[in-house]
Amino acid sequence: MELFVQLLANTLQIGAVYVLFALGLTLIFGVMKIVNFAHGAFFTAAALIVTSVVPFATVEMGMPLWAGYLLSAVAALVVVLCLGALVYKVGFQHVLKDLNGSFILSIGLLLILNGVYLAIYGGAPRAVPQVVPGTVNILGATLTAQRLALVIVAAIVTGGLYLLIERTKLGLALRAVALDQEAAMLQGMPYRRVALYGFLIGAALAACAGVLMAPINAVTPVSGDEFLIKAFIIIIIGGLGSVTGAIVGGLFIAMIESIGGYFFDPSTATLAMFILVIGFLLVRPQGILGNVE
Amino acid sequence: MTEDSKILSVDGLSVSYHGVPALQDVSLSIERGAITTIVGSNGAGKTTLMKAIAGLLVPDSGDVRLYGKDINGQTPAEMVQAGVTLVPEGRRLFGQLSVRENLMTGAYIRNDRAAIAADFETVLGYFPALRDRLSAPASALSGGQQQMLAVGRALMTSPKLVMLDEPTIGLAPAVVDTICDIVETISRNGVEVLLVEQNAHIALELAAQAYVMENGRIVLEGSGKDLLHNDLVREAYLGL
Repeated sequence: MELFVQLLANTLQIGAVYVLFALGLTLIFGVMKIVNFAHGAFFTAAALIVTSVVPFATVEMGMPLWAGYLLSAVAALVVVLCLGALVYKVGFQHVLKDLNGSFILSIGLLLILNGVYLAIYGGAPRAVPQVVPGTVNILGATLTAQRLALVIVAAIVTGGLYLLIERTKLGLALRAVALDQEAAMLQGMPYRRVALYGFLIGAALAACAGVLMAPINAVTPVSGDEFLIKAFIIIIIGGLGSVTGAIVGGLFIAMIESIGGYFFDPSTATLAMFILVIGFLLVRPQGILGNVE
Repeated sequence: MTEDSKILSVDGLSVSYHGVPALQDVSLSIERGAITTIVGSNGAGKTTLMKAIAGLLVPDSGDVRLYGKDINGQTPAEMVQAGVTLVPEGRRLFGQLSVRENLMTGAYIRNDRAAIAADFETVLGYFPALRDRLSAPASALSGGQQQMLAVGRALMTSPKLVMLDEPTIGLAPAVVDTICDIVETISRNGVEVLLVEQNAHIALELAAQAYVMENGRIVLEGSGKDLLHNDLVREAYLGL
């Protein structure tokens, strides 16, 4: 029982970040029909901003740690939204529904942004003190309070996104555009504006993940990129463009990682993931919740 | 024919796909309170014409005017705002969205909740079969119900002009009758209708004004009744 709860706790804390990251990627794919290989750069930008705003706010401005962290979260979101709007206007709006063009654009963008981050911050890992100190005991399993906070905030953000998609007019437009862009335009939906909103929401989700991970893992200029491959695996398994699929897929991959890592070792778990994704591509290429077109 | 009785006028419209002409110098007008129809065989350019009016295609030359106002080069969203809604060929419903959500996509440009709710009831009044299926995904409906939903979705945009592209194709005769009744009702209730049909008989029976298209040109125009008795039309499109 104790082991089960511990593995569940591990699954949730790994999965929380995967879900946020994959949700953004799948939303952008759904609305714009492009794959954003630079998605990790939004994560990294947010995490790096946290590592410079937190020390500045606490040391220079004398703010308490929690306030400095909240300030850094706001700053990270604002900067990432501006960065997202900029790369959309300059680049992505010209490659809507263009897989080749968006591939070249986003790979190039990734290289540029990684270079910029490296030039500004250097390559050394940067750490932020734990904002929520201590550990929590749940049914015999221990996890740090910081990680518990991450799971709770990620769950709230995911729930908020779900409500936005299912209950609001913008959500209806995002879903309609993802299903049939031309038919959505014929209902008066401004495709380009809806695509921009989808892109910015995706970027904001990656930024949330970056802000939440900064106090847990040391941040480097390529921190976000390691999530990209896993996020692809997640949305292939969950179903490209499916919000529920990204949630289910994210938790599923996190479960394989935590259970496989415990009973075998991390590389076996990684191997299992790739075998799984090959299996899905062969047997059910549309994923668990994807649609056959 | 006075200027202000014209809802929509198309003047000298030409459209091409990658240099291949699809519409050549097409002119037509839609009069207030009259159902207008375009008949013609497959590939005659009827769908291209509808798409060009709806803003999905950019014409090479020519004018489209709505109430005398030039609306050339507007985006589809702007055309819907202006009151022109296309029910596309093949219905193009959002299959995974519920019937209710499909109808609400039509109300996207509107903000007046009371008016939207009233139109929602009007649409369900036209198509009572949809009322029991509001939570069902659109893809679960029968072909006839899907066509009703497509027309209902268009009406939810609160249009001045509805363009229907092949609304009866592939439907059972009884359902065709329902659709035809609704087209007449919509027209009586003050929404102008432009109907494109492969079933020339139905179209000419309904329409006050009719155009015949061949190879991207309008080759004949007249009242629906006249064209029903026109030898060329009888031979080519009615199989008489």
